[in-house]
Amino acid sequence: MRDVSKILSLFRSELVTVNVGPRSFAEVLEKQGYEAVQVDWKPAAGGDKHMQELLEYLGGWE
Amino acid sequence: MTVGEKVAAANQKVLDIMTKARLVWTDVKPAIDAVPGMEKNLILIPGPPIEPEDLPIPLKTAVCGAAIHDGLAKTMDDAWEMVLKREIRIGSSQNYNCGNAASSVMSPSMPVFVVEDRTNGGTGYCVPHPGSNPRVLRWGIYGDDVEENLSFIRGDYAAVLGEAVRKSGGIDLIRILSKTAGMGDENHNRQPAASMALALELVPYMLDVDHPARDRVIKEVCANDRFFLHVMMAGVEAIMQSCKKVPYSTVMVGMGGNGIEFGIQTAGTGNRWYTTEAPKITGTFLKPTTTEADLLGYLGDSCVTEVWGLGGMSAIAGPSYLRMTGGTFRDAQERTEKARQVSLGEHTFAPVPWDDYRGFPVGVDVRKVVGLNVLPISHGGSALKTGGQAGAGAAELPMACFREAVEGLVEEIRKLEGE
Amino acid sequence: MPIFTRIQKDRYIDSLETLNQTAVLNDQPGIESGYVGMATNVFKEVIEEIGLGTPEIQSCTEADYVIVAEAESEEAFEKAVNELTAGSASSEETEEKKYYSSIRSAVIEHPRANLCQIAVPGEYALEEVKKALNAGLHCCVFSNNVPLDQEREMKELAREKGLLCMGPDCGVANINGAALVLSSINNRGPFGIIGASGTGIQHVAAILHEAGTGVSQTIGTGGNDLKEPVGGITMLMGIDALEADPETKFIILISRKPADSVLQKLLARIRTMKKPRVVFFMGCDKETIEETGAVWADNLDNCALRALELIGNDYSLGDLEELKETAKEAVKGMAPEQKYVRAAYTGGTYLDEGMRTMWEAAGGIWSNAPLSPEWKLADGEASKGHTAIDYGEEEFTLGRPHPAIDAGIRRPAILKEAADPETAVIVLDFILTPPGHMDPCGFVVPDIKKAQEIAKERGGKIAFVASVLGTTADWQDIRKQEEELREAGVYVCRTNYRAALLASEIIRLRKEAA
Repeated sequence: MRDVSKILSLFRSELVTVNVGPRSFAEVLEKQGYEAVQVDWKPAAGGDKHMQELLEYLGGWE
Repeated sequence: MTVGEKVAAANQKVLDIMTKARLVWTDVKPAIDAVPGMEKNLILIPGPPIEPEDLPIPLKTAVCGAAIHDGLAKTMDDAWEMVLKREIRIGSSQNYNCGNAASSVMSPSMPVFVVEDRTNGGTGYCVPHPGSNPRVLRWGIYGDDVEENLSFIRGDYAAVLGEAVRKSGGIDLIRILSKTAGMGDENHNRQPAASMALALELVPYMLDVDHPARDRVIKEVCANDRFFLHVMMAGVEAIMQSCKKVPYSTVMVGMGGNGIEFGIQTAGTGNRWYTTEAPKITGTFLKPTTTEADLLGYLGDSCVTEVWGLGGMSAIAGPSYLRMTGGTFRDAQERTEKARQVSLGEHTFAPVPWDDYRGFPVGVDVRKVVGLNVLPISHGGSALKTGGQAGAGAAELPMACFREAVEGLVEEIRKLEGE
Repeated sequence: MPIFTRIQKDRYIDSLETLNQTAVLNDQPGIESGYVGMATNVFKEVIEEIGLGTPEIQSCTEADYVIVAEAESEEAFEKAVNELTAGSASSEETEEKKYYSSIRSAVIEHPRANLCQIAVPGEYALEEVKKALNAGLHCCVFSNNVPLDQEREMKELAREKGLLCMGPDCGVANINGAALVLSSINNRGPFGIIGASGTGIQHVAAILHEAGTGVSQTIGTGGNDLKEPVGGITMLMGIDALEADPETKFIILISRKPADSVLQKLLARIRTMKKPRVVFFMGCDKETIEETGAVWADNLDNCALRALELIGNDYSLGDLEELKETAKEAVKGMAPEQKYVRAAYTGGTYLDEGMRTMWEAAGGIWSNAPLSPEWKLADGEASKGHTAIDYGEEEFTLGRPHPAIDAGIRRPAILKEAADPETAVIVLDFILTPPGHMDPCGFVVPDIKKAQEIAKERGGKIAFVASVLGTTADWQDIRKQEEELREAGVYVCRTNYRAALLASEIIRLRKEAA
């Protein structure tokens, strides 16, 4: 059996969710009493594929 | 190492240069003696390179006025003739480790502040701030009264100030920024605290200078609450000199406008400019009769302060500036938050108490700006098309510059990689 | 226009404030142009220049604060002056929530974050999942239309890091009691569920909740996990985790029939499981499952009931006789031409279950996602004969959220089907979830009433049959939702399967009548 310690640790911890998507998904988690952190996702480089390729060549930005 | 790893390492190096720089103001000297590459017929102007034919009115006035001030021409018309014939050359300040705020220009005889970066070894230069009089070359105005003030600055003012600075053994700008942290300066458009702290260090040495104009110079310096800006600009240029020597880095190391075009520079491509149409500064006007149609595009290099994390980047440090220009405390927080999103690090020497004692974000990574589609904001004074200050406010830095910079960096790095 | 002034002697206001006030003043109605400042020489020069100078101001000193404006009336000026002072007192007190631009920046400021819920367009999912996994976060990926090789790539990375990657296309997961994405809110209990169908997980969990027990964790794998290129990575990791989780006493596995090679791998793993387990792999025969030591189930209702048997709970969903009685009542008053079932589902799992259940009675069902290709309705084609439509399909949801959130997507169905005089029964499903519509049943009641009026005018009556998937813990409250439907004359069944059985009975009776 593989190492599931990280998954078990998730089950034992207080759930803190990073929500990448509609804000409502984060809001309803908070309303259920769970901490949620909202990431307002936008497509990379405003969706410009050419820029995305150049940025990838430069190692991304994170 | 992959290209990405090389970029990351180079950016870390630039961030170290920026955050560990120890800036010391050491001297006041004529530009011709101080600035490498300065020539007798060269006048440095703000922003990216521009052909003389394209100069906006305020810069044209400043260049011609400076030519007369330097004895290169007798009249404004003669001066312009010489500029058009390239007998008088114009150059882009930031390519010479200099900065020129607003419509300021630097001619060979003008005195410049000399600021050294004791950690990384660079030196930067800037002409003194001329004070609160609205009729100054700095806003594209020239006349007998302006010439009189320029002559005073070149003569007695530079002599007294220079001797005092040399006597002091150098004034540590980082210490001044540290001492004034939490005093409300954002250090681009608002710096009364830093100017006072600087005067506090300087005045005792000025009192030791034996010169007939000593008291007048002390009064001028102490009455000018924007004095620190031009010293700081020289300091930023000292740092950027070292940054521009780091290949592969995608960090912004220069920016400015000439009223027509706005441009940025990146460490990995040194003095190459990435330009686009200059944005207009929105905010408040000094006169209620001014309208947006009267405004020139972004003019000046004072935004090199933003390159090093001041001004709009650290808007939260000087929220009163936003109040003045039509914003709120929340807007100030948002400006700094945006800056953090696209910056690689934070300064440590000047934590802001009401920002959880965090430092100013520093080191704008052009990859982040383009990738996240988040534009940092620069503060700035706005110029009238015809000359004179229109008002003050802020402008989003144009995305086109950053996209061009990404293209330019990839091009340069592909060369380095032999691709 | 006349010029008005307001002068306050020996009152100092800093230029920071007066510049702002000047801007505010010039924005006021009835003000042509105005200026505010301390009466310095520069100030006096400026107001002369712009034509606002007065002898009174010229006689002021630098210590005096001046408001001057060219205004259409004294009243307008007074009002504007009041605005200046009001403006300085107001400040925005609203505590705004902080939003981040990237997973990385969010994690830096929230180092305790342990899960990332991702709902971005499919083409960007891999990139975001990688960022989340590299930041050490378990993932719940709602994004769909992710190519299988990319799904494999993200799941392999997750496996390498020992992190759970639920989805892509994971609509339901309950972790530590939290209803993620489109899950219902469930009581906690000893059952751990791993499923490749979100509705399937939610369905079983809801019955467990209703029966007084609950779930430890539910893990949605996404609909493609058990396909060949992905190889069941998430289900296998989920089994390992739930086997080791002390809170989980029983394990339930739900899926359509896995790909053959994946099925063999799964069966081998199920065979070595230590905890009691119920397996519902649609279309897998009893022997194959029981051979592994698992309890076999042949539909979702049965899956939940077999699980309840493991804890000695003899919960019942009701019997067939009950439904037959209801059907008899439902057909009373129908017009002779009424004979067809029309079903409007919000998702594929219930559509499939419904069509399979009603197939025999109907003798074939048209659909936009049919059980066999010859029964395919063309895009946008109207219902004919017996028809079941999945309103969760892309033709309806492109650019819109899931029908559980956007109830308007299915709304046109009711009146459209009711307009056909041959419609005898309309089958509907409803799903409750925190981000969903707050009153999905109440939302359709007006249309149901209108449909009945239309049928009545024709001299007939339409039987509405519905089921609500959700729990008493859901904010919409399943009891309240069911009650709203009943009040509108809808036959509310405990589950979708039973709703389909009832509909089958109704069309059988109509056939007999004809």
